[in-house]
Amino acid sequence: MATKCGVMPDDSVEQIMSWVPPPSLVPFKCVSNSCYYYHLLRGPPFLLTLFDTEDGLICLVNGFGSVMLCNPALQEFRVVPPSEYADDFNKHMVGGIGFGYDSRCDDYKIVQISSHRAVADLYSLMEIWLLNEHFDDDNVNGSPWIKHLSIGPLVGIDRPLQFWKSDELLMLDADGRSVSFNLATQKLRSLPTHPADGIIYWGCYVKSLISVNGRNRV
Amino acid sequence: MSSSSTTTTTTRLLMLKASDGVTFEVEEAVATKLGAINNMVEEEGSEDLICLPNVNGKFLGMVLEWCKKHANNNTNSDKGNDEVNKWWDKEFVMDLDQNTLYHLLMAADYLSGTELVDLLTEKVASMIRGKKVEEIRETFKIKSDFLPGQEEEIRKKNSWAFE
Repeated sequence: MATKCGVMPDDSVEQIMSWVPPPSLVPFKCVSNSCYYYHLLRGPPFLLTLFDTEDGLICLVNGFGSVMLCNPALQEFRVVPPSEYADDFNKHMVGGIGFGYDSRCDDYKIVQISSHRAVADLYSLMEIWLLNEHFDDDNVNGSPWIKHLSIGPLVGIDRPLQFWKSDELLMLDADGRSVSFNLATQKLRSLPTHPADGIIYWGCYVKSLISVNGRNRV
Repeated sequence: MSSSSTTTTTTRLLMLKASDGVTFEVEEAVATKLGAINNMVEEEGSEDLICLPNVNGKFLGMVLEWCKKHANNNTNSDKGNDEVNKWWDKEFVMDLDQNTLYHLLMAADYLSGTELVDLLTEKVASMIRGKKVEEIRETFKIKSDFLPGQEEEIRKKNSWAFE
């Protein structure tokens, strides 16, 4: 019965932990280093199966356009770097922002649409897991966020809403109508919906253990 | 003639042999609640004796007891069945000691008894929820493997969770 987690069978620990709410899992970090990291923080595929989609990460934008991703259950946050299309003066000027889970890539993504150019930056959270050794504790802007690609030109698009259907990005145009952008084909298509004025967020929130600070952070 | 689709009326008996040689005669409809047995029955067809070298008689017996109860409860198409199953499950796990829980979980996992694994892992989780670090270590006999100062650092960074 010698396992990494004492008398809990190693093969079942992940499932056991899936029944434990995040606040009770945090003290578990102090129980045993190897048990916690071996079982709970091996990487995103595990965390995603354990906590399903949407996963309790929320994306916030402050009045100055700084974009931040946080996990309230873990009380962690991380600032997303400004768009390279923003000039020095308006570092964080964001025209629109979207955040969601991309099931095709098993990854979380943030899209920023530049306020003065018709382009969008797509950021991926997945690299957090890969780059966790290089984190600089004091510099939240020196970021693990990796820009994956720029989409555009997106003429007449107001803001992104969410990833859906694995590789489609749902966005609102200037008239409040939904349009869908396919990442693979790079094509925009209008969706047959009524104008959805005032939608600023799309999705639901659940508590989770997805660390926005990377898996080796405690 | 009844055309009932449940297999209980025509079910055959399977012989399950545990690692210590203990055998159990079980209705097919009961044993096939376990995914592993179900696969063997479907793949091997006519074989009535199934050897299970990774589970000993004591725990195989308990797993089968659970299967039997659930198979019986499910044959009555009564709306109260879910409640009955829940109540019975609660009783089933209530007084399990640590050692039994461990081996039962291993057995249920090996036999692919998905619902039983759910029940048992939830039970273990209930022993973790809301517990202090020291209590969890003691309950599960886990030794701390932190370097000096590491644990204090984690506590400091996550102080909100320890209040």
